[in-house]
Amino acid sequence: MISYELIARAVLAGTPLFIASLGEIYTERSGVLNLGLEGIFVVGAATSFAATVSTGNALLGLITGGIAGALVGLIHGIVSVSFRGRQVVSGLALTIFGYGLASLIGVNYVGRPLPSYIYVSGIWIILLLCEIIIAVIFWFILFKLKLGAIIRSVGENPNAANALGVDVVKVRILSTVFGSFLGGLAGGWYILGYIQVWTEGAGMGRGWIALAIVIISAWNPLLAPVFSLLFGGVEAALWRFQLPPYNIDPYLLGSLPYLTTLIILTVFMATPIKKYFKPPAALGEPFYKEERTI
Amino acid sequence: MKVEFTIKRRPQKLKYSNIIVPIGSIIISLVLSEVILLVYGIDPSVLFKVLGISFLSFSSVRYAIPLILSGVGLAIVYKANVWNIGAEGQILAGAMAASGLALFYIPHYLNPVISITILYIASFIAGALLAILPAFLKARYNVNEVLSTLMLNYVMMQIVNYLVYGPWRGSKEYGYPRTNMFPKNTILPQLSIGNIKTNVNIPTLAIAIASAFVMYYLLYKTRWGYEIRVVGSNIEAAKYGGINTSKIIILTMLISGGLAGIAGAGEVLGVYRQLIRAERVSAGFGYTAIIVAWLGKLNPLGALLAGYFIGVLVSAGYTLQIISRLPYGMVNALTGTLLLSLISLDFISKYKPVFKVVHG
Repeated sequence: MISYELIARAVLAGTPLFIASLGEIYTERSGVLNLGLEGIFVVGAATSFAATVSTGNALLGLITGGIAGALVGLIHGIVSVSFRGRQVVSGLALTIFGYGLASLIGVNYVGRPLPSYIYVSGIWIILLLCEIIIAVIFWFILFKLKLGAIIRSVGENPNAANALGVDVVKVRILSTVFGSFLGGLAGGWYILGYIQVWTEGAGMGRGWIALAIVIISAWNPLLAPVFSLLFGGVEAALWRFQLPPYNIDPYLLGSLPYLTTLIILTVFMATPIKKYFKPPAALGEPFYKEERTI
Repeated sequence: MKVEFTIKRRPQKLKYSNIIVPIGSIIISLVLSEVILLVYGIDPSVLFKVLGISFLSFSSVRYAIPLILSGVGLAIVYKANVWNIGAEGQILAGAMAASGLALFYIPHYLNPVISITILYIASFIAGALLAILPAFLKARYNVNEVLSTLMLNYVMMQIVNYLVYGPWRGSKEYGYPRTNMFPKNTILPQLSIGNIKTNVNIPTLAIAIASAFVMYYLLYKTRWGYEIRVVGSNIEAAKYGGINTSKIIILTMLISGGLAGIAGAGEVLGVYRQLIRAERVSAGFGYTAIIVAWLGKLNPLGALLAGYFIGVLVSAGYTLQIISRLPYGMVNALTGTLLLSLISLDFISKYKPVFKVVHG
């Protein structure tokens, strides 16, 4: 059942999830939960497609998607970090806003052909290797460099970090913007490197799965490629099971990635594995500075 | 010379902030909508004309019904600090239960009042059952309810589509992905005034309005409501005070899931009279209801008003889509901005920005 082709498809389907979850790991390590990732992913997909059709250059399109994601993420940074809005609410609002923005951007591009796209299906082994290398680099920065220590300190104990002279608000906003940049880039990759066509609603649901990957990867970049590959594999396998000799209903199959996510989340939370998966201590909590100094 | 910027907590919330914050947010999101219209080369006055018509149209009430029902439920559950994002799926669960019973189980000779009562109850139970699973996982294992409820939305969507494309596809529907029309004794009457027919069904509207008052009473006048509010404001204090937090999590999820389920029954029994594709049944109401709950400041009566107002926006959005070919996403951009403005302005009503000029 597990064939060469299936692994290739798993890598291709998993890459956008990998990019998005890697960014969100940095955001959440700084203590900011960005449920807007779902909206950012979709906005990234729409802007990348629009920019690629307009400029004819897929790389330019991809970067535009990342920048669009970063700008949308900046809203979450300001609202939830500077204005101390509840992160869950701000993130959900951003996702709803992102859905709207994406369909407004994409409305004139439905059915337009892509002049240029990211060709990776022939070199999926290299792609997989790159993912692993990138994951190691991200892990190294987060756990071995001072920069990573600063990001983690803000997510674990912002008051202590502040006492040591870290600008908590700045670090959190920058981490959110960086994570959102990758979220937008992931959306762009999904469109340009994977499905290569724009339809209304393209990319919806992927951001949520990336958020789940962050949790089951225990906020560790090294595990992100593993679980991205797994979810990519579920998606790839679905495609196979629609065909003979299986002929399973596409809608029933379509519910599997989400059921899988739910089951894995539950298994990780309900079994002793949980001990190894501790979220950043201050994840989701706003930081109040002035109340300590006044 | 340098300008220093700090933030100070106001000793008291800004006066009239309960009115200023929602109205201010509405103004901000309307301004943004006008900008979008200008970008797309559409006459900005169109928005006000469309909104004006929508305020008086029955179609706003039609959209307000599922929004109020789901929004009231979400207000209760969010008040307890439990993040049910699954209203979309719970609407579908209710719609599916009502459809299945109406098509295959309710005898054709059964009195309409009895059969419709059964269908409402079944849809409440179905919505509540879908909410119980994430509630249990949250209460027992602390599984993140945002993700679990979201995942169930997608699962429900696929199941409903499987049914309308597969086993439940109607024999009299020329192969379209929808079930047969429901029998006469299971459909809800639609309001008509003189010659004007509307797709507003009074029974579900009545339940929606009643639910807002009942839930208001529950939240502010009963012991359960008190416990819900304590759990929401400080879970540690609640535990210390001997409140069973698991019970509150499950109770609030049950209520919000059940009310969303009734909204689903109202859609299929009162508007479409058959089960259709999932995307059209729930139509994003479950997500939009999140904004209803917050615009109503998590007060069930506030959600009643907010539900009508967002119903107007939704109705205006569909009209705008027809006359100007702007995608319905316009409404999402507008309501998303509304919610972001709400929490930002709420901050400004509690805190004061201070600019200090530092010389040197």
